Amino acid sequence: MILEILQLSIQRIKKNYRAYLLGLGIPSFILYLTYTIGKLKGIELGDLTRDPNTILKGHVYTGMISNAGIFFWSASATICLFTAVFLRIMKADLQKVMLMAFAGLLSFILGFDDVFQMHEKMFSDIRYVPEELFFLAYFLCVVFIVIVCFKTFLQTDFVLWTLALLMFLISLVIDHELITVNSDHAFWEDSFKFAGIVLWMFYYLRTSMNFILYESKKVGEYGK
Amino acid sequence: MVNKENYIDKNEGIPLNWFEVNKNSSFVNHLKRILSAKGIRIIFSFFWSTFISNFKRISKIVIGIFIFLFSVLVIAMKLEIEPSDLSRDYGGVYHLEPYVGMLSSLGIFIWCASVTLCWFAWYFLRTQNKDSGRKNFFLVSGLITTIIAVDDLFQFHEIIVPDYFGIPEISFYIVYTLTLIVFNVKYINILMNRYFSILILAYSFLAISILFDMFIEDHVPFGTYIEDGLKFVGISLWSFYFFKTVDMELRVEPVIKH
Repeated sequence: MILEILQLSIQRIKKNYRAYLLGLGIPSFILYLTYTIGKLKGIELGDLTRDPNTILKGHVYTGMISNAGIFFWSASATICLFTAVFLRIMKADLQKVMLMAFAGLLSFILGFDDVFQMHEKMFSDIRYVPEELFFLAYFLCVVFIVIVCFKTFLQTDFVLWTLALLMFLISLVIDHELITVNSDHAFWEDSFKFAGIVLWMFYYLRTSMNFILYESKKVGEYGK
Repeated sequence: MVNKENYIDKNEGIPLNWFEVNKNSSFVNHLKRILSAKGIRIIFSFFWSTFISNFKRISKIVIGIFIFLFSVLVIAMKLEIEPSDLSRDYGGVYHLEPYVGMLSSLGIFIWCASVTLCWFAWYFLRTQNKDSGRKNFFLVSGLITTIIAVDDLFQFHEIIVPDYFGIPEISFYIVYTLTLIVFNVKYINILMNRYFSILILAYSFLAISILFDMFIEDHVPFGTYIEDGLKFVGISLWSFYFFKTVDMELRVEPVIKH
């Protein structure tokens, strides 16, 4: 049995070697990049790889909501990119593919920004980029996506999406102290952001599921 | 439940064709059409009708989120924890450089990708009401991946359980190994698709990472980096395997290809 599995595995590797190269290549490249950055900047390599809480021996609850937010950003990016690939293979309407691909990329960038504090700190060593410029760029991306895929966008539950943007806006307003919150300023700012991320994820989950179900039914039961 | 009818095709009497993209029309023309009086009127009436028809669902989601956030606030106050310590990212709380924990954060991102894919496939099969074996496979995969990802994120096996409950870290690895053995035996026919070797590679990298952490890490240079690197490759391969498996499942190609 084990020998058979081994033979089967070798057979599969030969047949799908590109997938294997990709699966191993991408993480290896990221590791190489991490190693190079660490060495060039003289940063302790463990500081790049370990969980920050382990490094600082902090409380386990620190950053709980922020971490949950990363989970939801990643979920949105995965759902959208996966659906874009799926719809493209199924030769679905181009607007749907574009809506999902753009949304996936944007979710990925926003999540990446959230994790690495791109808009706050990341580029400050190289060149100062005002935070507002990031927000403007994100806003323009969102407007662009919506306009290009407007008809398809209207056919989705876009109210959820609008609510997500509203939450982000409230979070920004609190962050810039346009509304005064008496206490726990950071908590409320982060909470509204978290609510926005979750709504954003739900919107794309529903939209993706509907697109995929629509396509799979269009081509007949079980895609045949 | 999501079905084809829920995908809003009926337009509810609202002329969405107004926004039909003509091949010759430019982006600016399209924008003008959207911002015209008729365009805005259509958007608002459509917004309102979808808001009313989805009110129940939207309220459930929004109320759920705010109940969660409110509970966090109440618990924080009871335990005398600064609420912003719970909501801020580590960098914000400890004033860290953004690169600290870079690979760990990426790992979380990738764990979450496989969690999402499994749950997404389960949800899809559930709505199709087909083949409960495959549906259960994705449910169990989703559960296992979620538990491991949450454990990795909140360091249950490293800090919480050993420090607060006195249960040694090794017991986690034993439970994980046993669970995975049961999982693999039960679903071997679904797991053995054309990317099966990727899964085996993922297991191998994760297992080597654990063994490295236990026995070798402290005795070699760059020990931490190597251990975390091996784990990172394992997580990525795990995610890649589920990406391919879910893709095949949704396209409904025969999963086992000899």
